[in-house]
Amino acid sequence: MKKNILGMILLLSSFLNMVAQTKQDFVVASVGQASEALQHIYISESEYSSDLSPAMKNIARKFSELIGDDFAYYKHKYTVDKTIKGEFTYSSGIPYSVLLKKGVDILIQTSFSQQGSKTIMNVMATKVLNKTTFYKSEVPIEISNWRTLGHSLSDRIYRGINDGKQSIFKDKIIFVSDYGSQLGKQIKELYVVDFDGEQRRQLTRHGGVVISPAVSPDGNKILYSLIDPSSKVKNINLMMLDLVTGKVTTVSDKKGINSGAVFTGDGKSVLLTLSFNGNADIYELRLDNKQLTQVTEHTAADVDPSINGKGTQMSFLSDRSGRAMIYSLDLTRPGAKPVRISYVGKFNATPRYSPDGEDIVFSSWLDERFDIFRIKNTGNQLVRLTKDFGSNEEPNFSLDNEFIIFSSKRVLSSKKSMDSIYLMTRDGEIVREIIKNFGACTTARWLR
Amino acid sequence: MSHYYAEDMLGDSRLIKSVGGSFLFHILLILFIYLFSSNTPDTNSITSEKIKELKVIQSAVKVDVVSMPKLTVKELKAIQHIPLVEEPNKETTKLIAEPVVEPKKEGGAKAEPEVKSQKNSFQSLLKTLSEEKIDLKNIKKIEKTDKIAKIEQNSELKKLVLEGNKISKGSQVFSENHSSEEQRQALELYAQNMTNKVRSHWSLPSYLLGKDFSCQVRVFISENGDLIKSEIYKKSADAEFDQRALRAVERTATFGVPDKSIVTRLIQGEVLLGFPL
Repeated sequence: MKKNILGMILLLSSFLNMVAQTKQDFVVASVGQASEALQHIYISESEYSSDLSPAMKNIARKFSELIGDDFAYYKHKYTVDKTIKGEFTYSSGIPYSVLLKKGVDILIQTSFSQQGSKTIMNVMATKVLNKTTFYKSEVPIEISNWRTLGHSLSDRIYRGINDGKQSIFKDKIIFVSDYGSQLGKQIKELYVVDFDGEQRRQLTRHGGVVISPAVSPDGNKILYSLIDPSSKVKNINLMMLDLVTGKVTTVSDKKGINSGAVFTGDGKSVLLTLSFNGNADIYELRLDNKQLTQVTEHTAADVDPSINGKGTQMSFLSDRSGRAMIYSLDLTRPGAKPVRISYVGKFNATPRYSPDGEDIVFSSWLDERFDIFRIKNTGNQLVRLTKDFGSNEEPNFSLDNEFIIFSSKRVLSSKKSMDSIYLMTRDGEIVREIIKNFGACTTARWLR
Repeated sequence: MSHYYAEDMLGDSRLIKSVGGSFLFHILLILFIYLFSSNTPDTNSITSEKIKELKVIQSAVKVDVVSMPKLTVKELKAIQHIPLVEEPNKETTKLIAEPVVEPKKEGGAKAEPEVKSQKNSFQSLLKTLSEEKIDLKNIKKIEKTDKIAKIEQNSELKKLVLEGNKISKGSQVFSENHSSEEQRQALELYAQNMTNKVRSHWSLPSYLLGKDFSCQVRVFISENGDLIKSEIYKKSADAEFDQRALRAVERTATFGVPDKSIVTRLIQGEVLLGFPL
């Protein structure tokens, strides 16, 4: 027994020595934090059976392009390539070693086949490095819904890559355009498009001037102000459009300004600027009983309220310091005083919270034009996002916090200018022009 | 008598068993503590050091905001991408490291260059300066360069925070009879140069960035400085993270010709690269 114990002790001590020796011999060097990698996505050409209708064959050809175009929006995350004809098709399998040599991170393959009267589409997305097919589906596709279905599949693949985080692919954009205006009669109506500017639809037909739209938290209602030409009294009234029923109602038509409205976090009230008592202040208006509560009270004008995602903080513009500056107000504490956020800039406008409420994006007058800036909700870390790109206004964060949509004015001549809607990353990298050749487009907002 | 003897014997064997068992238990406990503590480096001190340095950077940003920024985020990023640290000379393979320089601590005095106080020469210098014409254009240029230098200094500080401790390149030539300490220093210097090369290939997709993964890759280097093979020595909690660390090493492929004194140790794979630490 004693021998056994002694033997075990000797064995253990030699093991300890060995471990200690091994540990001593290694030199460990720290590589440091990784930089962000652009992921290389390969989209294979759609494969399709010969019995497909010509129209569906055409859609099959366009489909892989649509998915590629969707991912190309996230240019700060992905580089997108289309495979050469017949390469890595759905039925040809996945040659991992070849793809790894090409530096491909993700392969997306699609195929179309006819099953009776239905066209069935198969989609498969694979992470090449760890040889995992993380998304696979088989869905019927129709000519009428192929774009919507394509964006939806892109979103599912995006979520598969990004731990379930939703993309912008299924989101829509509402905006105001003066398309159809005639000399002497300006008309501005509300429109909606897919996030990529396609599938445009007109939402209002007042024949008047629609301004400053805002979307409800559930995405079913839109608030906007209207200067109605048919009304005898020229007033800016607040309207609400129900996207489910199509019904338009007047929310507030007090004397003076009823504008710049946004929904509160629960969607049951709106915060808006009213000027019926002679000075512009911000009020809360309950939608069910029209009960009005004054939120800000100052001899200076308080306008343009914006609310964070949780509905706990409101930012607004006020000239109480002598210049239009951004202030924030804690909505959870009754009687809380506004806190000044911005201290610089000649004239600041349209502050808007990011969905997580951490950042505020706004436009500021600089060098004879507006440019877009971002600042933390604490007033720290002020950064500039646009420069030498026309006059840029009305910024609005996308709902996934990755992009900012804004309107940009280009002066074409002393009498003519062009407003258009652009998309940039949250760090100011211009992605693309979203609305083209459709009059002067302004005040874009995201709709989900 | 024999009964008592048998009881004694039984007692002895029980005692030996219990002492042996207790001894074994303690040895295993010590072994466990040793292995556990050696596998987890002093992360607290690293983290607190990093936080301390990050706070310094944050306060610097606050002071700078006195007017609307002229440069965009994109332009600032472009400035930060200008290489700040010179690549080590490939031909200095016979050099070994000087004693490891600890990162500067708060309040730590930096060796100032010696200033010779010569009254006469100072007065004559003033005289010469007063006679010189002021070149306004030059002053503006100098101010501009100062501004750029300040921006570079900030980004260099940020880079240091991200890189962690750095081992400086040595200048001492050593003899053929290398002591084990000299060898180790040479190996450390070589390993540090390796990290500089691997870092340019070390990148992660957005969904892996900011997650608290960490792995170690064991690298085997040939006498020419080429990668013989690499393998995961300590896994992270994510297989893809490990694969990307391996890929960063494989993409680097060549690390520069090592000194003869450390070739054997490199071939035996005695360098571990920590991703990130």
